[in-house]
Amino acid sequence: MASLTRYLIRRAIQGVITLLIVTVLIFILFYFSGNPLDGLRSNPSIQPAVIERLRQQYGLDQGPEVQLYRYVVNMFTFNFGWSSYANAPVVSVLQEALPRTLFLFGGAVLIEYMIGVLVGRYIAWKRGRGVEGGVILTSLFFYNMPSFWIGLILLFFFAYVWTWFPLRGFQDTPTDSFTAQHYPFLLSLEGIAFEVVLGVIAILAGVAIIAIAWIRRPKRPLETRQQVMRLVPGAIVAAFGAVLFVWPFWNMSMFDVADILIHGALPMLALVLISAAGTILLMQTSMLEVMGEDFILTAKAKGLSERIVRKRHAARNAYLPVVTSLAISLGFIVGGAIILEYIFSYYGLGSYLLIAITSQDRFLAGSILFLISVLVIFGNIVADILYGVLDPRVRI
Amino acid sequence: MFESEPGVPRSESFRRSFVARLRRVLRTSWSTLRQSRLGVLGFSIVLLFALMALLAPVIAPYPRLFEAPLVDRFDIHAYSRALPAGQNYETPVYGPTTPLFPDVGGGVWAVNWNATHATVYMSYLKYPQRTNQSPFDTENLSVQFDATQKFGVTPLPSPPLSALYWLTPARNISFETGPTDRNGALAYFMGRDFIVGDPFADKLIFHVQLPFTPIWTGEDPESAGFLISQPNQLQGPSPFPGVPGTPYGPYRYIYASDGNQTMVFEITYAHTGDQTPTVPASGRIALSFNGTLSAPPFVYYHWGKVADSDTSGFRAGTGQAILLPLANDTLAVYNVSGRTRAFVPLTLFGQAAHVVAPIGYARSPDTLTFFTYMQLRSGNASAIATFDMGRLRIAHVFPLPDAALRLLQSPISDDGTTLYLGFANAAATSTTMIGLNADPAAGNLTTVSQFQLVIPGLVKNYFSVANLVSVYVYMADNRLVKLATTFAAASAIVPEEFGLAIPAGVPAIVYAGTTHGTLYGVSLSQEELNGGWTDSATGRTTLFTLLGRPRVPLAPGTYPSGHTYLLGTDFNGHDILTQLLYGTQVAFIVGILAALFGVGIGTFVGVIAGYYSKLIDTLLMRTTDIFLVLPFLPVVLVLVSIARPSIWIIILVLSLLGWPGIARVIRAQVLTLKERPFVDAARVAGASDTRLIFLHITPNVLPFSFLYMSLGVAAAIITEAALSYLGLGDPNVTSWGGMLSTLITLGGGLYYWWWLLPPGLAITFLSLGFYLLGRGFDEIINPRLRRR
Repeated sequence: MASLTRYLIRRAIQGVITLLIVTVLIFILFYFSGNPLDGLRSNPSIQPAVIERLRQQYGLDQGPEVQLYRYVVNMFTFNFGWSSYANAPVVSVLQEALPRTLFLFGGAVLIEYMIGVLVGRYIAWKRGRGVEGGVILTSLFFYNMPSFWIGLILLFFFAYVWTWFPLRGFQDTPTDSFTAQHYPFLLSLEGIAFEVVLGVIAILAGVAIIAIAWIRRPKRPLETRQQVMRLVPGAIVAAFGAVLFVWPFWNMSMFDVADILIHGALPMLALVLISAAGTILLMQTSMLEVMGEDFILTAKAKGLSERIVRKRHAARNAYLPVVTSLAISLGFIVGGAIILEYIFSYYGLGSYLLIAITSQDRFLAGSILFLISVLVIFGNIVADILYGVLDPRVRI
Repeated sequence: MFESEPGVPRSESFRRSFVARLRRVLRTSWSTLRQSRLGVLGFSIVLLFALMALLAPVIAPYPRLFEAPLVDRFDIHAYSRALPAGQNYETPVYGPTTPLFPDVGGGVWAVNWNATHATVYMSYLKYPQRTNQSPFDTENLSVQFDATQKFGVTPLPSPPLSALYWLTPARNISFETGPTDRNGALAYFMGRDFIVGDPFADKLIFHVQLPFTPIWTGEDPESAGFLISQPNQLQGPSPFPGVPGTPYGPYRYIYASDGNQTMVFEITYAHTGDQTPTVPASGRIALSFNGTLSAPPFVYYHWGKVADSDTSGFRAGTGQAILLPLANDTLAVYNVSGRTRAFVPLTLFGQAAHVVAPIGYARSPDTLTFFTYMQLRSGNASAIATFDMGRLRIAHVFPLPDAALRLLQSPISDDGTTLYLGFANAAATSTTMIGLNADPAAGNLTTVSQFQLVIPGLVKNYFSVANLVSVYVYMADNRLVKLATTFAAASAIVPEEFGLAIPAGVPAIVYAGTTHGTLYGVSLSQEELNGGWTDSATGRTTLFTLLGRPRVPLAPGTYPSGHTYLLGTDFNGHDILTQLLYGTQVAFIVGILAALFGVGIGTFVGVIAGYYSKLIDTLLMRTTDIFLVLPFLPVVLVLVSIARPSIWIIILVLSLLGWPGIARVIRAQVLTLKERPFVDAARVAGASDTRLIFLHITPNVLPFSFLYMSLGVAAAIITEAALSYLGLGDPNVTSWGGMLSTLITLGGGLYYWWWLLPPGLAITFLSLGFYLLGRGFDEIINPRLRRR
């Protein structure tokens, strides 16, 4: 364990260094993409004095090293500045966009991971039957579809031909109220607050967890540290769940929640279709690798049931590449399908990144990129740690 | 076969056995691949696409840059009406009735005439609100008469009818314009008789017998309908307070000349049914001139720019002139009152020059002075000259590339600032079209870049329509082509086939303008901009829309031009199937190259990182992290802004995107492999690091490598599609992603399923094929995956 802590610290330091390098690279990219004040210069109604003052204010009149230093310092202290596109502080834009993206991708990743692992495990075990070929072909088909095209097709069928889902947006607006028009019965949920429902679910879940923990308590009492270790996965899951599924819906009524779910259904479906396929395939490959090992034969020879061999012996070892890829994809949650968010007009982080780049909003774009970098590096560290924890053969 | 083998032969027999081994590998691979259903499936899909890519130029139904012709892309209506058969008809004259005001809703008369029998057939055209109805039928109105007898002219004039002109209605002093349908006058030459009459009021306006048989005849452009603004009667100064001044005009001018004798007639005519004929319709001879002309005369009169300065009754000022190009290298300029203004000697580059083609002018509403344009020739040089009518001198000259070129039609600018000119070469075997920026205020002439085209054969006629930014050229082989007058920079002008079947006997196609307004006036919609012709052989007069409503993108099917588009077209008329086939080539090149580079780098880095010490591992992994974290979109945007977007940038970017992911997975595998017993055994046996890496570790890592290679091709194809979709792809290249990009950016992506589905399906299936192929190879190399 001590080595794990040491490894953690080491990786954290390396992560910060990587982040620093990436920030510098981002700055270089922006530096070479032109002067942000050029657009203003061509506007005849803006006086040169104003432009000069802006230059000084943004520090553009100083040398690149100074600009770089200021940029890095700002980024690391989360001083993101003012977005010219949104005419608001960048932080407020991020506050609005981040939970949406987290909800979309978090939900999609969770669903697809579950589908992928379960299905992949099953079909790898049932090798040689028709089911395997059929499932693999279907998942291959979806895996190879371009993400934007899947989005368009889903929109075409489910939002244009049959208007079950809206064509755009994150939630209903006064001018574009899809849910209110097509699913009026949901309006009755208007009065119920989300926090209330959340509280009820939390109580029920808490009771269920305690009951299960009591039923499945270990035969021998565990040391304190082992007890704590048992709780750690649950705590991590709870933390992620809070960020992904509670933060976007905070301060909303159940109608809003239903509305957001309906609006987010198609983007999530698109993401799930593409990534579940990949997870299924990866899981299947990994399972097949593991199933060829000797210890599986031993387990079967021992007389263990097929289910146990599959779940506890084969699958546990097959999780490793899948977990690695999952951890990496956690990092891509925010940067991932920029195009998909753009197609669905789902104003999350990716969509804002694209808009910020095309509308020359340096501060917003730079901040989003920084945020993405932080999350990706974090995801990589988690992946490394997970791999070290899960596979004892790996000496870290 | 790839499991660790102790020792590799180092002798020369290595080379010989290498070939043998290769052959053996291939044969085993194929036999194993055959066992894998997925592998065979993948292989056949890839083979199918590869064939598509190779044979694309052969099997594509249309050339790569093909665009559907105008009749397909636009809903071009053609309406026709039968004239009495058995006669030969001349080119129709289209004359508007009450122009300019959209809600007044005038009409256009199509005047067809037969020369030998001197019969005139007039059909009223009113553009219908419903597009299926023929303009001929909306108000079934027609007038027919025998021109010899119509106006009771004595002695009876005798055929042939040699020329016919329309006089557009004008406003009288009370601003009345007359009826919206039966309104207008005709002027025609029959033999030596010149007759002007109102066919609706059945009234003769003017008749004179010429002392010569005219060869050149013509009308002032305003009266014909080339209006800047509708003519108005003019009011003279008030003689006494409270007493209105004398009304004058509106004047119309028609000239006739046989080259030696010239007469210019002035017709005073407001409109049919003028209830307050304070100025009764009449005519007089404005000018009678004896002198040899080198080119036809030119008369213009614009009521807004004339003055009564010499008490000639508004027959002076800058807005009017009679130009007579004399054979003695002089231009005679007269006022329409008949008074001499000037005799201007013409010179070109210091040499005396004469006019060799019909004169024209630019009649922009903002012109303060009128400039006329004429082609001058002097000995060995020829040029288009701008003649300043204010200062009466040549203002600017545009030399023609070939002195033998001869201007075909009078250069009248449709929008006042650009002239589109067609020249015949000396041998009359080709026509050169040139566009000139005729800036009336500055008086200079510069070419409209790129509008320069040489057309084989002599075109029959041409006209330009500013509203449609096009020039329509009726070619010698009976084809009508449209030349766009606006272009993207550095692109050549490409004539677009109209696709209408034009009968062989049609000598010219005339711009019939809008049926709601003037020939060159306000139009309510592009469907009102029409052209027309009359076919002598069948006696049918036809009116067709020059543009019509756009039909693109076209759904799959057959279209009026006879072309069949199996997958329809996109907004620009490009056939989808053709683009799909040519896109296959791009997909293959980009996909394979990008995946190859990416996987190569990734495997190498992953193996080195996994095998060697912590320091190198850390360094390489952090580099991988940097590449993984680096957001690809800004990188691509910046790269694209530095260098022009091209296929190679895309391949570079794709490889840079791909290698970190592979490196991580390979490294993870190597970390595990490193601890395996056989590695220990090899090390104990004395194997060096290099040998361990290449012979023991790498072959066991290859399954994932190959897997990622095929995934890489698939991903590369998809990412390339995404990049093209975002607009960052190579614009010169037809790629599937580019097709989808155009679909989304030009709007309406959801409605055009024939455009949406094929590229996406193609991308999916090609990626699928490569992936399955990879799986097949995976099963070869990794025996554990094989079917037992």
